[in-house]
Amino acid sequence: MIHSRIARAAALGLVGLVALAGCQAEVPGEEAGQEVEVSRTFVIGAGEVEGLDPILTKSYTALQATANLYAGLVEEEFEPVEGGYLATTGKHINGVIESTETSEDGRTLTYRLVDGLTFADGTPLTSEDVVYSMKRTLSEASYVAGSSSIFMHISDAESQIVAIDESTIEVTLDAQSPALNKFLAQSTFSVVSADAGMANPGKDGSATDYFTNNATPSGPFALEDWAGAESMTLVKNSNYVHAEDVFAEKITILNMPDLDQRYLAVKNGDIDVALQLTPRLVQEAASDEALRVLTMPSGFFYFLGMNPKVAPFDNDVVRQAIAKAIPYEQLMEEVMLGQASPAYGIVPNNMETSIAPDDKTTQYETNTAAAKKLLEDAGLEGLAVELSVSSSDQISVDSAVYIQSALAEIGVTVNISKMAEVDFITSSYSQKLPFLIGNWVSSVQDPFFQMRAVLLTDRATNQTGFSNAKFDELVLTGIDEGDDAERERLSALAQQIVIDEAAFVNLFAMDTSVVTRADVSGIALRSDQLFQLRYLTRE
Amino acid sequence: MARYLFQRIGSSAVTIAIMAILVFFASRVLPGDPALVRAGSNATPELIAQVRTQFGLDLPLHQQFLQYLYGLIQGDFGTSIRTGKSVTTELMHRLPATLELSLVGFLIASLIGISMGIIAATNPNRWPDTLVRALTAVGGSIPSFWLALLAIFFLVYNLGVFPSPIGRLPLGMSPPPRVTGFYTLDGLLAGEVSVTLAALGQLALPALILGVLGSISVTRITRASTIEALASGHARAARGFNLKSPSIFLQEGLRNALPTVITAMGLVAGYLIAGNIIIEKIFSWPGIGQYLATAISQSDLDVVQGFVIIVGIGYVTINLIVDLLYSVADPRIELGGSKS
Repeated sequence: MIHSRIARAAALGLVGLVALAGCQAEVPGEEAGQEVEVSRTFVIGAGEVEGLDPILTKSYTALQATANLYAGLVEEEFEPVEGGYLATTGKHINGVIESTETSEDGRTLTYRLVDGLTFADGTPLTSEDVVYSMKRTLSEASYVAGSSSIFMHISDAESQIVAIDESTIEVTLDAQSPALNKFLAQSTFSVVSADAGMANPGKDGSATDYFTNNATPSGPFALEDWAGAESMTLVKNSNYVHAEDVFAEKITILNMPDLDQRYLAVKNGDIDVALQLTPRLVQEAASDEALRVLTMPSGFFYFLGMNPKVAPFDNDVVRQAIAKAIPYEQLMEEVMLGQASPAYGIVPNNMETSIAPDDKTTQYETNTAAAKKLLEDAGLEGLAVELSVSSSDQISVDSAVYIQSALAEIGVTVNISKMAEVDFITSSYSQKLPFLIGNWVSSVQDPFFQMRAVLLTDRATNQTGFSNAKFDELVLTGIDEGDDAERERLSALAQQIVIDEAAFVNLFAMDTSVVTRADVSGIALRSDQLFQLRYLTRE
Repeated sequence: MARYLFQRIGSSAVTIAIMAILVFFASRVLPGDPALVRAGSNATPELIAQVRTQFGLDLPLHQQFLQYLYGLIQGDFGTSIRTGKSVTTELMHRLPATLELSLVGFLIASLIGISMGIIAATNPNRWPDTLVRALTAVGGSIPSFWLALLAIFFLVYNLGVFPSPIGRLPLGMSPPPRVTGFYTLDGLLAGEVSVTLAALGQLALPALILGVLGSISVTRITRASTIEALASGHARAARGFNLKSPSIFLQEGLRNALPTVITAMGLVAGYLIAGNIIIEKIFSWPGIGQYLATAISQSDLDVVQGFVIIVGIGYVTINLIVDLLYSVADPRIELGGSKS
């Protein structure tokens, strides 16, 4: 009797729980009686927005948020392309400025702000804000200060960036900077409020604590709500300089860390856009008529690194044989499920000055017989090597298995070492891994920026240990070269050195894939692989 | 009682202090350089050195330890090297989400576990007992992530019984003003019943999964200890006096089994606080488990330390409550003394 009562009570409790769940499942947002223009409201499934400081933020979703909250001096220009999305044209348009005057020697730039600009909260946006923001980005507190200073030729921001009057900024460069606008268009050069920053300088004096936890939006969207680790809601900023081009009224960025759930949510219509899905999920989405899959070429590439200072990779023949044995097509088709493009050397095919003859050629042709013969002729048989990968990067892990199998065919035994992510990062950037699969995407799509970052001798981000004096000279010269033809020539020579050395073998360039509901359009991919969300609309 | 409590709180503090010391040194031997992770892929050696200085990672280990202890005494778990935010603030912000989920999961685990244990114990070797044993055997072999994925696929996307696993509230609904951090309670306190109902709805499936998994050990222990109590001399004597079965069950069975059951429930409560990492990830639940998962992959030492200490405090508190409940469940048990 008693246990039957208990059982009944338990059953009733569970039924009640299910009923509660069912009751509320259909009424999101209706309780408050808000009238939301559904067609211009979007929910994006992504990661967590961990902080909003443009000079410190590094996680993908947080960068996504800052890139849409803030405006810059200049912005990238977009155009519709085949594939149903918007891509950058490679040109820049004015952001908060209406004009730029450049001196004859190209070293002094005078920027004039658009009249009457304000931040989202209505406070005036003046030259002081621009100067404060630029100096902040070039200060010690910023993680991009080093490379930005070098490429922009601003060695002393304090004296080289000045406000002439309320709407005029003068920037004096040490030398002409071909990549200046590419840097200024980055979200790291977002215009934040100087008043807010100076009122909340914090321990470091750079207001990093304040801007990590607060936003002073000047861009397409204002911050409506930030529910901690759960979500962030952006609303159209009608004070934004190009407000007429902002189609989306409200965007919620939802933290959905599990990618399978992110996919199921977009499939079920709970969210409109799912970012960063795995190739398998993207492939699955492609067969669903309710969904749209956008696959966009990107500069995000995977590479095989062989440290030429460590045996057996100190032997050119070994490196060349391995480069010839890699099953590039197979990696693109079976690991990436077709969501990748050939990458011809250190400068991917879709980046300016790439020496790729077309979009389909890889820098080394897979030729197992030739690779095997190379090793045999050199008497290098029975080699055994350890290939290091980050265990949290499934693409690297899967690629390693295919490479292991391919190298076995030429008599090279590969032991795959799966390392914890942080251990892999630390070891690879210390050049302690002689044979590794790494990846890279440059925040600035500039060939010299990319070559300097990835392969310059002793550069902190040089993971392969590659070192070539001629290459270094070409890259460092190219950074300052203003003539397009000469830049192309220098870049081509540097790229060819990398191919000849075969220490850095580009495996493929991963496509950026987005899955949206079928009625969503206006996806715009920036050159830094972030999305400009203002064009989002429904068909 | 007061003396016992004082002693227990003292010994708990010592336990937590030892744990804090151990976790500090254990986290220092983990591979990886947090400064490099913080500085990012564009980092120069100068920037990495600057980060080391900023976060005190360049100091000798003993100085780092003293700084860490000094912060702990003030309730400061340090700064997340990944986000630059205060770990204490972040943990306190996320803790209610984990506690709310754990508490409801615990209630479900207790309800299911005790009910099924009693049903099995009062029907030994008959079909209800066989069924319960079969269910616990199957349930005990299912990993939590697998059960969660199956449940979401069938109960959310196929049958639509539960709302989508998109966090603590449905889309479009704002959290209630924060008082306790429990959305169910804060909704009521703010007079927003719809928020409470919605929060309960979002809680239902993850809590049910945690509850089902947590109920396995409660069921087994309730069954075993009740069967043992009902087979005792007291119970046999009671039957000899022709007392009714319900009376024997309550007086001799359940009452004598209760201390063991409470122990099992204490263990389940501890597991639910610390073991939610996978469930929180799958259900987009912004608790401390999700915070830890990201921190570990980024070598965010202060977060890992803070998590371990918070969970340790939770365990110690649960143990204390369990000990106190022993004397409530069985007055023969004297706290801090011998059994009368």
